Amino acid sequence: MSLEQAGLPGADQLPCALATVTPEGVLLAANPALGALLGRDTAACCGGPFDALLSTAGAVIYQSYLMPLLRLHGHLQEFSFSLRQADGQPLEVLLYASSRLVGTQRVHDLVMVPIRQRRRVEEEMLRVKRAADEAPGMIFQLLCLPDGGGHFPYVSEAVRVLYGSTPQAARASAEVVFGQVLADDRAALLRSRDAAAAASSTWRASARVARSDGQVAWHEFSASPRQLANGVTLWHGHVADVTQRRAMEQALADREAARQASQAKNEFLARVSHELRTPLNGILGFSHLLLSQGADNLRADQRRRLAIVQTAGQGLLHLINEVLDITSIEMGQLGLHAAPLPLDAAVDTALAVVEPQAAAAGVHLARGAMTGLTVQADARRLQQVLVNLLSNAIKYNHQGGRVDVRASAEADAAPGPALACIEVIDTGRGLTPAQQQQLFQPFNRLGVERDVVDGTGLGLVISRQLVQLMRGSLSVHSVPGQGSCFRVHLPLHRPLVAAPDPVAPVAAGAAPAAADQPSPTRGRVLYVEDNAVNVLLMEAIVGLRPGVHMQVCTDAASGLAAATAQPPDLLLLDMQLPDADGCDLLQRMRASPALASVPAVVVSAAARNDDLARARRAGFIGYWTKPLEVDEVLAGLDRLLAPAGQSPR
Amino acid sequence: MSIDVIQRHHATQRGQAHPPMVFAHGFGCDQQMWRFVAPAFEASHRVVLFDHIGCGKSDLTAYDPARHGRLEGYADDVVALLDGLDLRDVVFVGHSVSAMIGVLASIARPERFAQLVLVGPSPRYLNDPDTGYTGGFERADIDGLIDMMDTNMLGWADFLAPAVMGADSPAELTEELRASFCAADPAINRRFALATFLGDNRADLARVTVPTLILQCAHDAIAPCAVGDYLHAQVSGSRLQVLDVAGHCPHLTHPQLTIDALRDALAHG
Repeated sequence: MSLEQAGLPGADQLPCALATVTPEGVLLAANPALGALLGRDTAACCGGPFDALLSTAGAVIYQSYLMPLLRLHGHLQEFSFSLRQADGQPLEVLLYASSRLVGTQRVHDLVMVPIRQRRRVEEEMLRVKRAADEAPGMIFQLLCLPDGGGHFPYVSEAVRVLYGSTPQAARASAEVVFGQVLADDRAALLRSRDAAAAASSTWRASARVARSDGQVAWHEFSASPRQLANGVTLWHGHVADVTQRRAMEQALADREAARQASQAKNEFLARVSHELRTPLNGILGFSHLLLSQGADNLRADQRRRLAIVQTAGQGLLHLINEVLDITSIEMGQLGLHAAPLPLDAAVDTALAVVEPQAAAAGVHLARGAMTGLTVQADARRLQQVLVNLLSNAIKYNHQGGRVDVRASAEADAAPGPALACIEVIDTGRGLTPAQQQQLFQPFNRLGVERDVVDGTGLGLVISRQLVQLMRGSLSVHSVPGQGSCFRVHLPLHRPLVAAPDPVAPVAAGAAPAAADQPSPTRGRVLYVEDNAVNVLLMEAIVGLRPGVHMQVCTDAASGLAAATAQPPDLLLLDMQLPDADGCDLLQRMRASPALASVPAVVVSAAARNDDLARARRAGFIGYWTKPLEVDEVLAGLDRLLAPAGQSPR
Repeated sequence: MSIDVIQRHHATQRGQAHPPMVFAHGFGCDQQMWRFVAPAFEASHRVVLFDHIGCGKSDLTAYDPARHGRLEGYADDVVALLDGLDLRDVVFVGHSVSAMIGVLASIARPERFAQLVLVGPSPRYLNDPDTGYTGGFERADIDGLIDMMDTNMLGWADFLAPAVMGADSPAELTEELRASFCAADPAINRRFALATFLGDNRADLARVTVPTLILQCAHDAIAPCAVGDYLHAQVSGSRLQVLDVAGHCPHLTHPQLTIDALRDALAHG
């Protein structure tokens, strides 16, 4: 049937495609323009299903929307739609449709116009719309009226996720967005917007928004204003959900604050400890001198009291050193110098230190075989660990008890280096599992378990950390009532001979010289120090070496002048002089040829590892820390000054 | 509870108290698609009509992108509806995608179903060369469909409504229509299209235990006969009835034929 026959005169001559379809979807008639558009003989299709002329997608739209709508409403306009060309390619058309009665039968007339040009524009618009919809965050156009009202002529799809709303709702009112902003932030947000509008500047602001799931999100608004007539402002901009970023920033800030607080605490502890050591220097030094030199003039009860002053001072010094160690370890400033160390000698030295304590407690010390092991460890720090363990084993023992110390090589535990295992075993009352757990907790230790004997203080905590810094481990095995066994595992040294550290602190391994024996040591010492107590103490100590003459200067300038005028045999320099730093002073002295090779020793309260390293670089060969150990100073003098009869230069 | 599901799905109930006949609309419009067919059963049945979430007058806030990204989510909605109304011995008539939604719901709650009537069903629209399955669609067809839907949304403020009525129609009528027939939230509709046309529920067919009638149009560009045959083979004990008509919506184009086929099915069931 032609369209003329179907009741549309002139349709065959129309310049647009035309088809008549029954409500059942059968193609009744088509004009030649449709045939030309599709490149096929449409007359042959008449009587068949209309959707045979459609692309697959077109058929879905036709069945799902077009036909139901047409069927129910009778007409349709500007419907985007696609046909199938003879070669199978889809052809985009714009469709207009209406229905009419032919006799008693209802038919639909469909007018179709190709939309290649419009299609290109639409594709471009689609691309932009999709980019806006898929982009993270919400892109918007916002229209603000002078009365404070407004709406979003455009928002991207993100409005659904960010505000639980729809673009349609946002078109009706801006409340869809601003109504979700928490009451506390809302006024400030709108004020910032209006201020940016008044200044014609970019609006940037953040606010908290109530999400539909009850959580609170942070949204960041940024937009540019354009002023229109009648006080209307048109905004173009973007909303980003910055909740995660905010949370991350907050977490970073919290962590940094915690780190700073911890750092401040450590620095405070370190500073206080240093400050405490200076007056202790006076107490310990003079009580020691009184006990060894002035003892004859004292009554027995005075000597006992003086001994108590001495013991109490040493206890305090020990505590301060422990706090310093802990803070240094926590601040990562405790550098160790691991070197090959024969265990026999190390254990013997430690046993010698605790021997008097064992004798007083009636505890027998038993040393097992060390099997000639050599470990890789820092000599001074391993000494500290061993003395701590032995001292505890004696302290927590009983009269007639024993302490066994022995060492063995562990079978190669793969992976990692071969290990030496040092065991300190006591016959004390042992530890419950709960006590074992608390044993290594830094700040739980102070002031607990003082019922029977002194608490272990921070010693074990420090010991474990020191051993760990030496790439070893410290563990405890104990059965209540049967004593405890503390095990130190340390890497075994592989026999590669290394030179001993030349700048190990003088105290390390220095054999104590008896203070009351006549000494052959001779020489001239220049001591630059501004603290009168320290000077008095040093004068008293040096006085024990009749062959040594000491000159004292109280600042760097006079020290430099004195040294230049008469070069000494030994320089003792305080680090913190009123007019200079000890290192700087030494540098200036070294500029003078006569002073270029005079041995120099630091005498200072500051003894952190970076201080030691700095002093070493500056050319000091020793570092005596306050409070001064009388025996240590004397041994140093003996070593650094030439014995009588031998000219130092 | 039942009030809730009624509002959520804009469910309407007419006719008798029992037994229930539930009509489910396919992809595209809403429950009004059944208006030429459903009234014929009010004399004998409790006729229940509803809109899928995101379609018609359903509660758009009940739309959950994750739940409704798959047909299983729509099937959960149907189960909640049947549970909420406490319907038993249900004759479920599902068109197009709702045929598969009904299949999934019957697997979840077989005890509530008396019969499934699947009008123009398809378990998978895409062809599957690996198994030799013919669904009728290529991936490019789906992309073309999404493009066309986007274009139609782009041209007008809201999907279709103003264009249907024409520019000279009274505004209040447009507004009323906007809220009902074939009006849908564009983003939801697009996701529904993807869930429908990219889904593959072939494996579920063997799990159907409810007596099933397949109503197949002889010339259907969307669910061709090969698909109806496939379903018939996979759903054990199913009956296949071919309507000698063109198109995909016999309930719209050939309502009397559809009513007769349903009556026949009820007699068999």
